Amino acid sequence: MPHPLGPPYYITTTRLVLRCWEPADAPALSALVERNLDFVRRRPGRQDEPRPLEDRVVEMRQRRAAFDVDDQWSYAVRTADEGALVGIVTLFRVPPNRVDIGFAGWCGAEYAGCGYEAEAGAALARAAFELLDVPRLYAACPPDDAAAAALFRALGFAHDGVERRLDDGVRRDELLWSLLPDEWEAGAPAAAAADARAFGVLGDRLF
Amino acid sequence: MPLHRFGPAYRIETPRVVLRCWDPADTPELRTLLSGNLEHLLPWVPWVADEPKPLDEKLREVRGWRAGFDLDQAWLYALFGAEDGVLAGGVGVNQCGASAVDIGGWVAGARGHRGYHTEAAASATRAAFEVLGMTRVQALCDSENEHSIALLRKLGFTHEATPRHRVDGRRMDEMVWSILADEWPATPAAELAASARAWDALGNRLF
Repeated sequence: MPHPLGPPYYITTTRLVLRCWEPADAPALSALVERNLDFVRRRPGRQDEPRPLEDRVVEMRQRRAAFDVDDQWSYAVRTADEGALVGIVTLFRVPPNRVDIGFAGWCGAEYAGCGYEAEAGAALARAAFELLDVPRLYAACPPDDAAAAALFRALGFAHDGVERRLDDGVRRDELLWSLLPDEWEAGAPAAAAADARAFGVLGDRLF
Repeated sequence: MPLHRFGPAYRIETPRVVLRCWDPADTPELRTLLSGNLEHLLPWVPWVADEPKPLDEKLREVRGWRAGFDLDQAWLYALFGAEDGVLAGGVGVNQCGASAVDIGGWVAGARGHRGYHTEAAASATRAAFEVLGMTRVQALCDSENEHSIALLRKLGFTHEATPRHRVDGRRMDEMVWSILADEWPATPAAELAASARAWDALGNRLF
C-alpha cells in the first residue's frame, strides 16, 4: 500500500459517492440485487442470489474486512443527492501474482443510460493509478456482456483477447481487458475524473 | 461462530461505558491516549512497551482489528465514557478454543476508578455468553495485579490455577480465572450486566 495512511475509503464525483461497505448496507444491497436478479445471477460466484439477509451481512462484513487488510477495495456507489444505492465498484488483487489489480463494477438496470458506471469507474481508476500505484488495471467479462465491454471501452481499456475456459463441460470464455498508466493519463476518462475527490479513513484528502 | 443471525454485538452500552468495534478513525485519539498513559499501563499491559507507534503503523493495526471483528476472529472494542464519549481504553474478546473466549482490557490512568473496568468486563462477558454462545469465559491476570484480582473476584470469576512463568529472569506468574455458562446466571457479573444493552451490525437490539 503506497500511501502511508491507506487507500481511499471515500470518493466523491460530480453525482456520486463511493464508500467502503458497512455491514449496515446489507438491506440496501439485497434490495438492489433483487431488482436485478437475472443480471446478478450471471455474474461469477453469484448463482446463489438472492442471498438471505444474514448471509448478506456476512458478505458485507467480509468486504469491509478485505478492505481494511488491503486485500480488495469494494465500494458502495450511491447518488450524492439522494443517497440511493445504485451499484458496486471493486478493485481486487488478481491471481496468481496479485500485483495486477482488477476492476469490476455494475449498476442497477434502473440506472441504465445514466453513465453512473463510467463516472464511478473513472474515479476508481484514478484512485488505482494515483494512490495505489497500480502498474496495470485488469478487467474481464463474458463475451456476451455488451454493457461491461462498453464500460471498459469507455474507461479506455484495450481489448487484449479471449481467455478460453472449460468448466464442467461448459465453455465459459472471458474477454480480457487492460489499462496501462500512461494510456490512462492521456485518455479522456482521466480528464473526466479530474474533479473527483478522495479521502482516507481519517478524513484526510488524498486527491 | 455467533449464535445470533446477524453476528456479534458491535455496540454495548452500560450506565458508565460504551463499547464498540474499533473504527480506524479512532486511531489518532488512541495514540494520544496511549502516549499520555504509558507509565500507568506498562506494568500490566505488556504490549504498551511498543507504544507509541507511528500513525501509519497504528492505523494499519486498527484496520486489522476491525477486520478481525468483521471476520469473527477476535472482537476488540474501543471503550468510551458513556457521559462524555471520550475514548478511555479497550476491551479484547479473543477466541481460545471452540466455545471459549478470553477477555481482557485496559483503562487509561485518569479514568481507572470510575467503575469502567467493572461494567466493561461484566457486559462483555454477558455478550460472550448470550450473543456469541460461548460456554467458557476466561480472564488472565498477573498474580501481582491486585486491582484485576479484586475485580475478577467481585465479578464472580473462579480462580482455577496460577501457571508459573519466568520472563527475563523475573517470575511473572499468570492467574487463570473463568466463568462457565451454567454458572453465569448466578454470578455478580450477570447482575451487574443486567441493565447493559447491546446491538448488532444492523442496529438490532441483542439484549
